Amino acid sequence: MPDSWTTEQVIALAPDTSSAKAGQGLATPRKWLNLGRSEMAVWGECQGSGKDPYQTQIDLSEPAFRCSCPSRKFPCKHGLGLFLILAGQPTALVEGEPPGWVSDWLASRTQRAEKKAQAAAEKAERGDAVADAAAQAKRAASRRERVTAGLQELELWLRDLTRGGLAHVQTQPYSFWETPASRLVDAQAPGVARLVREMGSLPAGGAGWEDRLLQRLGRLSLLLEAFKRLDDLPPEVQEDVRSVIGWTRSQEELLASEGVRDRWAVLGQRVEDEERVRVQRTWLEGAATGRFALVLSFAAFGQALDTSLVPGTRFEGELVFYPGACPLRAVVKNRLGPPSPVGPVDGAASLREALGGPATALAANPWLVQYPLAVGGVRPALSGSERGANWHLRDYEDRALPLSPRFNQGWQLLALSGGEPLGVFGEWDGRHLLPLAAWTQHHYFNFRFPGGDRAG
Amino acid sequence: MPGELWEALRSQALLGTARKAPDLPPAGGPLGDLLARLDAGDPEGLLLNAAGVVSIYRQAGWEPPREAASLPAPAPEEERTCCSECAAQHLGAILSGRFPEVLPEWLAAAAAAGIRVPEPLLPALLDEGARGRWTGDRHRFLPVLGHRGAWLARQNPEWSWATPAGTATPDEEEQVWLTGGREARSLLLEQVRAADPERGRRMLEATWREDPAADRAAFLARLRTGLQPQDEPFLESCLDDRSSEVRKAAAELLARLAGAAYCSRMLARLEALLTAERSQEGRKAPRLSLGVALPQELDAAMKRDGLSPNPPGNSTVGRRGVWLSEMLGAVPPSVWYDRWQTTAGEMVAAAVRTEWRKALLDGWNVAAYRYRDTALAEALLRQGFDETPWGELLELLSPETAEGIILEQLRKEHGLFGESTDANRVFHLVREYRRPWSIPFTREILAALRRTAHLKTARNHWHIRSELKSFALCASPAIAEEARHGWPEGDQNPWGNALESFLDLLHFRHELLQELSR
Repeated sequence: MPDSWTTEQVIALAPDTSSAKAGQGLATPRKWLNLGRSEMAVWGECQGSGKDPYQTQIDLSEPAFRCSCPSRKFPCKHGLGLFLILAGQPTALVEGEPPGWVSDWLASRTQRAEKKAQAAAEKAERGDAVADAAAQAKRAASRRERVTAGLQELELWLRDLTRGGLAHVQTQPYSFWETPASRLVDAQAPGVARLVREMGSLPAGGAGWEDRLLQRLGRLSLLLEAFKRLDDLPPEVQEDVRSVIGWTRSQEELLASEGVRDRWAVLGQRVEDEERVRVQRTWLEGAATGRFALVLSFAAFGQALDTSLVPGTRFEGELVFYPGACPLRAVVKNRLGPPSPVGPVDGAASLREALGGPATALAANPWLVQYPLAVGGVRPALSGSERGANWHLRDYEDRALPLSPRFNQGWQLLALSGGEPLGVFGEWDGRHLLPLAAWTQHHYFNFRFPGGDRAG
Repeated sequence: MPGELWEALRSQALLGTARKAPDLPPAGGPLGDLLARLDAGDPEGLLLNAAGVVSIYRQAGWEPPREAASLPAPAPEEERTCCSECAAQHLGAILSGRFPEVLPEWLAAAAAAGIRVPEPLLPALLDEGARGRWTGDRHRFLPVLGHRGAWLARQNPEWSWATPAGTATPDEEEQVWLTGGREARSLLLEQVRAADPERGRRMLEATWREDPAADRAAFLARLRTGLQPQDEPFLESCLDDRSSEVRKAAAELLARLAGAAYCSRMLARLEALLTAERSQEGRKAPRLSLGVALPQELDAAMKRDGLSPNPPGNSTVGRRGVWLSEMLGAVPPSVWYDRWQTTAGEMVAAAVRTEWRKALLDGWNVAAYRYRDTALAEALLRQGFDETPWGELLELLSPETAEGIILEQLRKEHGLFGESTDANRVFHLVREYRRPWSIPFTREILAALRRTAHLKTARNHWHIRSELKSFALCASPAIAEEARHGWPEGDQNPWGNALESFLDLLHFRHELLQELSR
């Protein structure tokens, strides 16, 4: 039973800073009645503006929250406050048997989990796809046709651009990019649409924009070539090409297949706001296999993001990887125990060694954009003048890896280091590293809002 | 070479293949083999695909460059232990906006407990300390920063406030003094004055003529730290400065120097205006009475000494009354005790009996504060005169005396606030008393607040509601639990959220102090 939930970890679960603050306001036992805990759960009652107090509870095995308050935020401020009490003043919680409303919920959760596993197993056995096979095949063929047509059209556009030269592109209006992008969406190739849109913001990106744009155009061209020969490619490469173009795999199908069992450490997490959806990216590393994994979860704005993977913890369990030449994305198939604090993390011994991972991955999947990097024994440092101050990491070879300009917790990183080497984990995109976590001998620190507040 | 290849590709891509067919420099090895397989007859395809291949090749092979610049030596080991998780939680909450007024108390308690702040909170704490509101108070942050905090501060110019003057080298100091901005120089002057007042003043004199007026006025104010008689010649010369701000600041400082020529000049003027005599006139004991004449006009010497032709606040006593007050404020009260063979209490009582009592008492109010004359402060407070700036006088007295005076006044109003102008005066007295309240005092004030809350007219007293929170900063946190009871329930509660905030803040202080004293 991990007694070592830290305040940082709890605040990290908050959907935005106003919830975090409200949660802190409720982190005093004075505002609660009947605070209690058992091995697996924590509960309490909090007086709100209504007649009866709200009943709040937490299932620590995930953690999962439940509260009777009407808030649509998740976890609500009561859940956060209760969790903060566990982190900061655990003696305020009385050990004992959970009251009825807690044990009922816990029981129903176990039941639901069992039913879900059963249904998935049954479905896999039955092979539900049999009845739909014909319809599915028809849909698949139709999509393939549309994508082919769409990409052919894109190729013409791409060649036109190349003939005219990049110099002209800088003065083009946004519709220059937006039009082909929406046509690609119509052609059911949303991944390519996104690539094109992203390219559209490059010409305004300052010095070196031509290099960055040319890189992307080059890779796009390779993608189109690859698609033309799709059926001749090895199966893993086919998967990668399809995935970049925008084909998705069903999670159910995936969960039915064999998983990789290991002790998985949750190293870092961040949230990206896309057009209509928020994407939570959680990175894990297996202790025995040494493999990295990326678990994505999605939520509409205002909805709860999954809180079951907490950075700084690890758990024994099975992950199923999406197929590909260099598999990274995965889903959690099952957990075989509660989370415990992550112990010392192994990072690469030098920056060059750490960059070996992304290099190998890039060779296998040229369309990879971000790759996880864990490196130990580095010291953060500030370089450059007053105006253009930039953070970087220095290893024992005195080589320097630049950190992303979006990273705004450089001073916290420096404070943690104190001039001594520490370990850093983050996302590498070929130019910058975006730190998501750092660890010293005694401390695992998670950078929760590495690009600024999520609440905006 | 891949670098050259890329350069060629880029410049050709910028031009466009319509102008010129792509022409790639040769490349050897596996890269060359791969490029050779591209269709040379398809110019656009060749350029794009080559760009793709070469960019991936370069990215996979990229190595981080070596950096020559050396890194600072690591921070020394800490001596203080780190505060607990819970205490860190409290500090984090304070720094992110929950009851920020409590920060000084947290810092003092943490310093006393011999603990330091955890590393991840250091940047936020250092940022907070840099803010303008902490000017003059920044020393409170230093004990809890630990070696790590001091080390960190040295690397960010915005945190230079955390590096005490003693640790900066004379060269560094000179650098800051000669080239820094007003804020940085102000800070440095403060630090140097605290350590060696003479050196501080000399430093200021060295650049005095070149500095702009606004800077000069600001720096002069810093001379208040470590004010000493040796500063007098410089300050006298400032009375002739062309900036009125500077002259005003200089007069303010000279008025605090007991033996200065400035005081003697004021005294000479006052001697011509004030007389005292003792007469019996059919009473049991002879009584002191004062004769007061107002200054007729402002001569050049008086203007130089800071008396202005159109002083603010001249509505009740007229400008001549204000001149009298200002002159009185510059003379140590002990002079009058000597001259008139009297005590503070007798003097104040005599002043009240004159026509110009407001002018006299205003003047002595300032004198009491400037010369820290507790007897005069007590006398002024006890006679209950209106419109006195209470807070400053209360500060001079011992907590027992100050609290005693306030409670005396409170009892005269039947332990209620707000029901009359006198009761309001007591309320303001409490409000101005900004030191930690003792437990008995807290209980009495709370009892008075409860009684007031139960009155039907309570809701009208919006000033009470708006001050509750500031009471929570001074009230004794030890009785936070007790404080929750005795208030009117639900709808009957006239102060709603304000009361809730009051109890919250009091409780928060209680919790954080408990945690830090573990």
